[in-house]
Amino acid sequence: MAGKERESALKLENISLSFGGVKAISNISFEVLKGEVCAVIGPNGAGKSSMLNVINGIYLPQEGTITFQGISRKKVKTRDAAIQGIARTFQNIGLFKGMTVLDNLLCGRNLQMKSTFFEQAFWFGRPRKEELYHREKVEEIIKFLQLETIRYTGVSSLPYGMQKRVELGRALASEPKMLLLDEPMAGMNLEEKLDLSCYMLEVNREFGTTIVLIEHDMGVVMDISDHVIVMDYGRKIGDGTPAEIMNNQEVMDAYLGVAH
Amino acid sequence: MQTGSAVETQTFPKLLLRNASQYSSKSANRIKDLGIWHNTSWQQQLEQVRAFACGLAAKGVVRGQNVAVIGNNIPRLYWAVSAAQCLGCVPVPIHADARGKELSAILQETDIHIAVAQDQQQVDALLAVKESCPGLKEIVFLSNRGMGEYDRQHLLSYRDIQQLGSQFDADHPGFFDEVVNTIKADDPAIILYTSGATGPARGVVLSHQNLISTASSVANQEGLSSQDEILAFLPLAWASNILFTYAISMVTGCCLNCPESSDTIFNDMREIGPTFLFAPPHIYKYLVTMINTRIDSSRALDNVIFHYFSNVAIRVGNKRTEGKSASLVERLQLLIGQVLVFEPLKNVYGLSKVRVALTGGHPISPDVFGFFRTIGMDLRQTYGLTEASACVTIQPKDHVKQNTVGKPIAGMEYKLDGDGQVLIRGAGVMQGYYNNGHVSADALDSEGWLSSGDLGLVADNSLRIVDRQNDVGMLDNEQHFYPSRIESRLKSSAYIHEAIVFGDRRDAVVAFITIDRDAVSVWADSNNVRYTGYASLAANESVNALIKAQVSKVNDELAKVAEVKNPRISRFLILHRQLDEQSGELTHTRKLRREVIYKEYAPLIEALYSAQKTASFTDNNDQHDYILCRL
Repeated sequence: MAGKERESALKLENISLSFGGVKAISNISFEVLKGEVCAVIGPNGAGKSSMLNVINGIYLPQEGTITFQGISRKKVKTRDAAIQGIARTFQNIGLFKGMTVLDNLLCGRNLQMKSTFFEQAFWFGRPRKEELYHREKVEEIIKFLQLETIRYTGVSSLPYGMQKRVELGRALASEPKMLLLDEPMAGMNLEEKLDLSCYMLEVNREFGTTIVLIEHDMGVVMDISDHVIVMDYGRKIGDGTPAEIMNNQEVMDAYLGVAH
Repeated sequence: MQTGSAVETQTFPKLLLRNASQYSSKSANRIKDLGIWHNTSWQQQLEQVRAFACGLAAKGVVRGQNVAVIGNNIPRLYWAVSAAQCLGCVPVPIHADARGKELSAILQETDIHIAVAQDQQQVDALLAVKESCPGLKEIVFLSNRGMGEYDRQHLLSYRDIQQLGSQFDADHPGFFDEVVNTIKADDPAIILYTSGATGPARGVVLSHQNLISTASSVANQEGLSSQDEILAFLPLAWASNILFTYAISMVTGCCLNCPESSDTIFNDMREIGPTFLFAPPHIYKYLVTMINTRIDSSRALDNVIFHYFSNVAIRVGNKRTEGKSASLVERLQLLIGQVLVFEPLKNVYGLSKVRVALTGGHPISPDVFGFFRTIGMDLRQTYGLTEASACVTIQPKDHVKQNTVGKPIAGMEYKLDGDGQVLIRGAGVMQGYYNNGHVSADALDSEGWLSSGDLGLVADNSLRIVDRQNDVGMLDNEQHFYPSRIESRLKSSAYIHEAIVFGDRRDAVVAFITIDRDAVSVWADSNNVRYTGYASLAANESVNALIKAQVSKVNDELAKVAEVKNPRISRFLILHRQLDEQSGELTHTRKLRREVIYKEYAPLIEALYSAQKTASFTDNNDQHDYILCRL
């Protein structure tokens, strides 16, 4: 996808985040282009998840600005991020365990629903039409991710890989411009990883969704991403195409380990 | 049924026109998409087919050409088949996962210019062989998904063709009706490829009359009408599928339903409630295994109730086949069983409304067959082959015996030749193999008798298929054995998925077994057997002991069967993985390709005949160890 559109989707400038005396992210800047698959890699505790949390407003950075779709902000609220079109999945699955796959996906449509609480409670006016519309959108995602067999299955009884897929589906349901995926393939077997990689690439191609993912499986990262950002101890130590990153000495050191 | 005396002059296009006028607003097709069933009436189907046929004509497709149709069960693919027939072209259905040499061989042999493909997967397969098939000019695809970045030079969407067609139809009014009227009943209607279990796959040319008369005979005999519902879930390109879904629906005007995906079949079945069901034995076996596994892991009380009433039903069933009548108490027990257990059970799997249930393709195991008859489903066996429009005999309702395949349907007859081979003659017998004059001449004699290659017996006025003639083996002591008989007995066990036996020109019969992963996992869980996956189950000693018990049970049964004597199985091993289609071990219709398996596992077969207790074998660079079980 890289090279096709050079428009910037997300720009982070001089972001710093600390918790008390612990500096989680120090002075990081990078840019993600529209339609890109961008992987953030780095050892445990490098600040990758914190970075995603900064992008969609879960953590508020002490310094720096975030520019998404041309709008620059010092502080982002999670709700604003969602309204702007940033959806995410979590490292530990964040689905509603007691609900079915279908209901979980419908929750992802929440922001698009216009009818009020009272209208919904009394099933009066808009809700009926609206629900049919949203159900159809959700069914498209069910078809896309091949979740037909488990539509009415409670998510808690699904295998881990399937839950991850449902979580991706819920993020997609909000029709995001950008997807933030926090270790989408952790704990998956090879087959599940292959499946999910295919789905991610298809989302990227079919809907033009920009994807930022954190991933530890280097095979996956090198295969599917257009752009790789490497972090270590809260700093950015590499930024480039997969090929450039593979030849970066500092990255090799961070992964193979040298005395700090 | 309106066919009656006109069957001889009917063609599929004329049936389509008749259905559109006779049943115009009645559902012809239904498919579940985005969670909702979408109906197409016969009138709408005619419009769709007409537009597509005219679109093909606009693309320069002319009468007599072959059109490939590749994919799964989707109404639009059936419409493509129908559209090709309306133009006087011959549709060539191809299995959805055909690729490489298999695909290019068919495309080359039938000289395909235009292929209709379901989605990206089939388009990719076609593009990959395009170089070796210079004739292939255009590919029509149904689903847009993933097709965004393809070079559209030779690619057209289904809708593009239909738009071209509507334009063409407006410019050439009368073209469609004119072409349809010129098609004659003995024109070729379809080319169906044989499964290729025993040799190269061959294209069988069936005429309109072949298929229509076979379908009419089946429909008349079984009382099928426009009110019936069929669920099409078998491989599209399988002859039985074309007969029992497409042809039956055209002949009777009944509705052909297509599932949402191949994984949701049983759910879709419950929603549709088909009234006519044809499925190969492995589907019925799958159902039985699923039911048994669920019963086994259910509450103790449910378990007891189920087994109690099953025994009642088996007892009554046995009495009835012996010609005795059941006592009043037994009949009452059976009635309670039906209300409490069997009807709810059938309902869960969408079988409540099934009026006519047939099976065929390969021998069904006695236990599976018995199970469905026990729960009150009138399951009956059929015998057919692609060369004879997929159906030659059906068991009559009042004469259902375990091992027989019944009596010929109207218009068909059979006899046995000197070697016991079944010869078939009648309205359903093919015109010949495509472009293969000498092979056709070998198969069809001057009086129209088709050599089936199957060994048969006639007992009690019914045909009984013993085995494929080529598969029958002989041990060193000159005792014959019939592999598929033994294998179908083995496959009766819920724990055994697939079995293949060897022994030709050897001193004993030995077997490879693959286990049913679901059933064996449940067993392992409740017996404290630790495992990680299929391979570890297969290599486990307790699992081997479990299978050994199943095999020795089969040995006992084999000794009891009088008509077809079979030697006992003396050794077996459990393979480290399931046999599959990709490696060519099974055909698309799940028949064993014996030659491929013999070749691939030759060292393991040798090991079974040696004195070793274990063996190892390298497959795809992974080494696997096997326990060689002796009985």
